[in-house]
Amino acid sequence: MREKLDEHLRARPMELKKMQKDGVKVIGVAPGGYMPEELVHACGAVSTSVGLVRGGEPEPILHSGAYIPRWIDTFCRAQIGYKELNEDPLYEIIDLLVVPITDQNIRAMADCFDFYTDIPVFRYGVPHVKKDYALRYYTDGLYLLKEKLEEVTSSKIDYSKLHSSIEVFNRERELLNEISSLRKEANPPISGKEFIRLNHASFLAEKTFMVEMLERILDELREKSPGTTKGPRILLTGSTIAIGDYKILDILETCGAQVVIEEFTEGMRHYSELVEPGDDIFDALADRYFQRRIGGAYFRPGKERLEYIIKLAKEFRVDGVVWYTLMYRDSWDFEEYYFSDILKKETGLPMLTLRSDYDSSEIALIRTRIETFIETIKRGVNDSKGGKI
Amino acid sequence: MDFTELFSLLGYEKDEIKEEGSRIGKALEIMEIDDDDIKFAVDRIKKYYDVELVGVRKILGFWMDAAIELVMAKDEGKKLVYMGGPPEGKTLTALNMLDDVVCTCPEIAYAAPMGCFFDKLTPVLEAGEMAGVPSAFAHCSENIIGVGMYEKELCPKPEVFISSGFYCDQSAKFGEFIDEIYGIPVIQLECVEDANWDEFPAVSERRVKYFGESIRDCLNELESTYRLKLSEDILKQARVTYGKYWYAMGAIWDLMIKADPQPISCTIFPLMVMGGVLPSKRIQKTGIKVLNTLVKEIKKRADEGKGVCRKGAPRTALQVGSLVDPSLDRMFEECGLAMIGNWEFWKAPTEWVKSKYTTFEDKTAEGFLQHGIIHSAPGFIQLMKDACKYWNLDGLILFYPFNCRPMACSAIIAKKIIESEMDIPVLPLEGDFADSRRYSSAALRTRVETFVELLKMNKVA
Repeated sequence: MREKLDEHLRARPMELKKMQKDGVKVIGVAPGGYMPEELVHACGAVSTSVGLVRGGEPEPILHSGAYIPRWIDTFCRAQIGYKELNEDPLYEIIDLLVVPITDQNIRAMADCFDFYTDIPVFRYGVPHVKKDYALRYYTDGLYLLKEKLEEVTSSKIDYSKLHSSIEVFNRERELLNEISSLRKEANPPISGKEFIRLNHASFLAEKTFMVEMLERILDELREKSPGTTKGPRILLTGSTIAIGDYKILDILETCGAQVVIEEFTEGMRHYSELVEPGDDIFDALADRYFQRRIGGAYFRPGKERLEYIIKLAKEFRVDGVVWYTLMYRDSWDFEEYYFSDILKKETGLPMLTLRSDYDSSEIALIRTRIETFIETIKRGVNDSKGGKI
Repeated sequence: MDFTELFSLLGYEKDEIKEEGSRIGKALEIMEIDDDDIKFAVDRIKKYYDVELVGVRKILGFWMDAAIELVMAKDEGKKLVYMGGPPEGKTLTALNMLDDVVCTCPEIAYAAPMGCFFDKLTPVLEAGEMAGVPSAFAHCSENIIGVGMYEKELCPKPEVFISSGFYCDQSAKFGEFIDEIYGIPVIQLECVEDANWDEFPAVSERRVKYFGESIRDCLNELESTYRLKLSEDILKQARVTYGKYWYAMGAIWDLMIKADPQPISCTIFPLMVMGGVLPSKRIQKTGIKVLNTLVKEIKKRADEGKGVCRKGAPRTALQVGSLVDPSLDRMFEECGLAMIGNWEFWKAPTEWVKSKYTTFEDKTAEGFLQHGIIHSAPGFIQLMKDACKYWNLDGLILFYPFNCRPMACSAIIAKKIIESEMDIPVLPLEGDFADSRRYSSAALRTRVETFVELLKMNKVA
């Protein structure tokens, strides 16, 4: 089934290009999970956010130096690098880039797209607090987004279609959740990397096809015979896990660890909350995408996310946490400093902090640190002590 | 410890030094200032500032007073409220109108005299880096200083910290950080940076109302949790007091724009501008008088044709300059540039518009969001273009803090826009406003000297 999905993903850029020639608009979405793609789906445009979820490679970072200062988050710099390299067709076919502004790094990325590229950018703000007026602000932003999408696609959002779109997206979320939950078992039938790649596929694949694939994959995984006991169970968390940024996963898995759950604000489709349609569809979207969504480290306070990580660590019975963040993502850097103590106090678990600038020279250093961390867990040195390694 | 000469250079009157002597001595002790430091400061101040001008000395004195007020606040029975940078200045002004309250940004109030006069910030920065906010991750140096101060117990813990999350992500997270590590409660001032590219100078009403709600929340919490009630009258008065300082500073920029040669050294400008950003009790009481004195002194020099550089020198301006290192600002003058002023918090005359809003909160929110630097990257760049135009600059120096996400990104784009649209050379210099370890003056000098040659050639052409 995975081969069939891969084949679809390989063909998808060309398919999108053809559809675009036939008048379909391609909407790019900055990652972060604050853009209800259902709105795009319901107005006939193709929703693709994959154009801005690629990362992990050094070349775009080097290339971005002419456009954006080094001191902006690695992933955000990579996006302008990919666009200016002109090598990825997905970065070339976007008719409108929607950027929910969460922090200054994302804003800097939007500024660069506005100034250096011919892609129109539409921004709307994601408040950093969960208060009534913040929810109202976010909901108003969705109405502005609706107007913009209708203008770009020249078609009105059909409310009955929006309800159907929500059903499809909810189903996709449910399936991702069910697949992910299989990893609560002692011997997970799917690896962390396989799950993340599946999640990443949902940013590009045609939605109905993706749902069908996920249903089949779930069936396959349920029927799969349990494997043998594997190494330490790891929770992987951080700011962004981009498509292609798999080095940490590869190293962890080759060192004998298994990533059984992830928490990333950007780069993964958030699947734990469903849209619950009520009297007002926009209120329902805002409730799911803002109010109930666990916010990133740029939330103030960011405690909700930290508590959620602890909850996941317990639910998935992990042996350690790896905090993987990208360089210069300031909000995560602040939290990282004190989270290891909170984690230790609440769970006794050890935490390893890794940072990346998508530089190939990092790999050997990261490998050594991961090997030590995994070996330490295996020997049970930190079973009682916890804390940062 | 004899600090008479130092405090005279800082604009303190003889009677005041005598009267305040024991308080000053105690404060200097807390700040770990000894006789050698005082001697060093006297030489440094004489070297870098126009100390023959009363206005300059008094402005220097604002910052020594702010540091003393900060370190002595608890001993003197004052409630302390801290704000992140850039602070919401009108609420800060209002809080400082209450007799029993001191409201300040400790990172600036402490760092300015410790850096500019005593050059003793490095141990504080190092302490901050060791305690969770390393410079290598591009943390703001103000926050590094802040953490260093808490680590070294150089400032008392406040009742509450009010963040500048309406503009600065780092200030908001710094607030959470000091809450978690040092148990300092935080009030988050909140807004979003979502103006679209072509929106400036318009400010959407929803953005004003959103920020306004956050200011309202803050005022309510100050009253309900900390018993700090700011009445309508105080808030109104604070708006007027806050505006008056900026207005008075406008007269100084007007003189600087017209004068040739440049009549006074630019080294005083960062501290003068910060007086508007951070109006302490002393600044509120004497600020306008001090600025008016300086206006007269600059005018006298200009009328006499006196200056700190040669007549006809290429004209440029800085964003803020250094808040802790006058040698950096002086270096630009030594390279042969006429440094007209600091434009970061300046507003072009066309931007002074009457507010349509009626409440303190909404008016304050609008005032902030209208300013180019807060509004958006295009707003920030427009501010630079206005400065080039109104100040008749031959070139623009963008000395920006590398660790400030919005400023750093806008600087690169600004160079391209200003050079192409205004045909004015722009020199971006990556540095830091509050950490002199993050740049090399010697390396910068080479680039500035080349820039000066370019400007001279342009003038001849």
